[in-house]
Amino acid sequence: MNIYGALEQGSIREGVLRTLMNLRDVILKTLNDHPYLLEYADEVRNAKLRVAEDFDYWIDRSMEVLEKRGCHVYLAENAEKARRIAGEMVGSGKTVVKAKSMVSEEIRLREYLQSLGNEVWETDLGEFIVQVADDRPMHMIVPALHYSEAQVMEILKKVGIHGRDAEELASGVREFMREKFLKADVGVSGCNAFSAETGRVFLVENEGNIRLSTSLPERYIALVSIEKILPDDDLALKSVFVQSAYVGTFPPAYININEKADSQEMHVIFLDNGRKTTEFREHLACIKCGRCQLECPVFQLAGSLWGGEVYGGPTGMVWTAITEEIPEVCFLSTLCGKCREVCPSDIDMPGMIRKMREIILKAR
Amino acid sequence: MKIIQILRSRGVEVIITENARKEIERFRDAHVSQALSADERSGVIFFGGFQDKRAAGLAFHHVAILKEEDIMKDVISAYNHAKSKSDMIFASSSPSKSADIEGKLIFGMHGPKKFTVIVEVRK
Amino acid sequence: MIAPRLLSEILEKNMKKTENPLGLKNERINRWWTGEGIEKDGEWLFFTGMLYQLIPYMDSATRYLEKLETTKLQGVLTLSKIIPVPFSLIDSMVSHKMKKRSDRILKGIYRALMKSGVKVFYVPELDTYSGIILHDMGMERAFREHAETVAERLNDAGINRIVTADPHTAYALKILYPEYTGSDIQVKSYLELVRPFNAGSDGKFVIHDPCYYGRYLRISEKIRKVLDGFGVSYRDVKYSKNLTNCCGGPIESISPSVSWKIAELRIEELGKSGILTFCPICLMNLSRAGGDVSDFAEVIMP
Repeated sequence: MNIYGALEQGSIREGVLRTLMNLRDVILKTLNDHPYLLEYADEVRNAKLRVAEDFDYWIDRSMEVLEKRGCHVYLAENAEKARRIAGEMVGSGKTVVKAKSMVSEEIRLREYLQSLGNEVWETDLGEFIVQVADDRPMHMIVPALHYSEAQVMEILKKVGIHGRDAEELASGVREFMREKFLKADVGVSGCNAFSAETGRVFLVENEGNIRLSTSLPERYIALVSIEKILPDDDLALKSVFVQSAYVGTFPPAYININEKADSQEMHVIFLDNGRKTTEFREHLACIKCGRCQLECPVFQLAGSLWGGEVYGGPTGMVWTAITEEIPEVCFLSTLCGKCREVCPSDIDMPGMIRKMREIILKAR
Repeated sequence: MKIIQILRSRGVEVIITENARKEIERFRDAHVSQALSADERSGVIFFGGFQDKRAAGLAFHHVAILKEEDIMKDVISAYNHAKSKSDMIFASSSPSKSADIEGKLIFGMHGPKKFTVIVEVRK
Repeated sequence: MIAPRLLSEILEKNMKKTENPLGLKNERINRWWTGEGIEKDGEWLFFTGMLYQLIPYMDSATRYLEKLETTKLQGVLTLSKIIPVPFSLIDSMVSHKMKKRSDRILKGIYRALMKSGVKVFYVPELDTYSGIILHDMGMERAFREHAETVAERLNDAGINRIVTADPHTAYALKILYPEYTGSDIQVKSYLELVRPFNAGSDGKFVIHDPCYYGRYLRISEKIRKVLDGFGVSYRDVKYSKNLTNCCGGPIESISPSVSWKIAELRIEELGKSGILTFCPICLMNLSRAGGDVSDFAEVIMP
């Protein structure tokens, strides 16, 4: 489906607006009650931009720390290399449980591991719904926001999960997934923030699926896109705090600070995929909270269908430019500036979208 | 203590006692963890250890014992306090939850449906 | 979506020809001042940027482009050297009522400034389109060239203070011109200069803040003080001031259909009646989506 299909359908619009209504006041109240989060946001932005100025140094440092701690570490320049590496670690005939991760979408990891003959499960409820529906995540944090309860009911029937309401469906999914968690050979996660000081992988969540995906299997693979690197633990923790505040789920029910455990094999894949050399460097301060998506008028109509193959909305426009190519639909932005206004990192997305237009027109 | 209000407001059972040992008798079916620290402002509670992390993740009911003196003024102090005592830090602040189906909030998604914090105050 | 390259070519040609994006001669569309007894000299040059004058034509052009948006024809047009938008046709489609309304708004702003004791003057030959759409489209070189031409003309005429009528022109002149041309002319929106007078306004309004006033220029609070001063009765919706929602107008030429849907979204929040705004683009787009919209100048019309 393209943007025009989305406009006709209306369910994306309903879902985005519903999510926005549910979260916007919570976000404002959180920031009002916890004003220090604004300072954290500033510190995180500055630290990320500092790291982005010298990725080579920070990647080296991170890899060294991880190796010392007994992890297997890899650096993938592009999506294909990253999925190959992950594929070699997983092999075939395995059960893989996955935490929701936009970076894994970026490298099409689930599809690739499935093509090698593995059973791969998205364990986040929303992402699981999207997987079963054979759809794409419509928002970075709330991937299934475009489905109604009744639609989810229909979708989940495909995997034998039945229920009359959200509560029953969720409980069906819990049961279904519990079995997968317990038999899983490999756990895969992305990373919300990475500490170059200690090699710890910070992940926030509310469901508890990441905790189980990353601690139960004997083999754990963390996919870390290089802009997640922060100099130390404190900044990484601040980063995940800010992220959860700006998406309206503060504090996160769970913070996982993953590191090498004696009884677990841990692999860390660093992914570049256009980040090191991008001219949109300021955007590497994005913490992917997805707040700009909900607030953007074009996203409110078309969700992530306004974007590239993976990322959509204002932040997604720039992420697409960094990891794929500049999307021509960037001309649909009204440059109203709402994205920058609500961004915890004050990223000049309208400015970058204009820059993209300039590049597209110059290439004629 | 501000943290008590905060935790209760998000569906966490909070018990205040001078003797936590006596209280845990009641929670035989739950997984009980010793909390390492907590952030007064956000109600985030830190724990440590890989086995405890797995067990706490799998449990239907997670019970934390938190000593008053381990409650810190902010999340960074709380984290560093926890780090000084253990490795493999993890944190919880509420029962497991999800709003992924039409924004409807449900508890006990993949983790504990119930989260109890026993705050042990000084005698 | 209209092919961006096609649109940029049209814009560039038109701008070269007439200094405005629709290829219409300024002398023809800029008639609001006739019979107004304008001052030829003073402290503040009134600079309309032609945006109010252009909206009746933009409205017609948008209706034409809307038909073009979903056809395959535009692919063919991109390759041809013919300008595909029949401007003579558009001209004949333009509503006289809208032209009159635009003129009335500009008269209103000018008179309000006079009545406020601002020493305002108007020189039609100096007034022209700011070029803002070139900037928005990423046509950097074209924008710079146009901005330099305009800035030089203003400089040669010895202008050092400008008062603008709309937020897009205000932003272009106040923020972009200094950056692109080094111009140091002082620029203010008329809303920053008007002093309350007894305007006898009635009615209750809901405010739609233009994005450029709410975010880019941050004068929403000031605007409310002006409204209070005039005794205008108004309410704010949740998404107002720096969090205001877009009317969809800026993409009306690249995608009339998406633009229109955005306006509908905004109308859902504002309600259809008594919308008060301060921008010709918002006025046009919210009206197109069924809103009953007034421009501030119409409310305080001296």
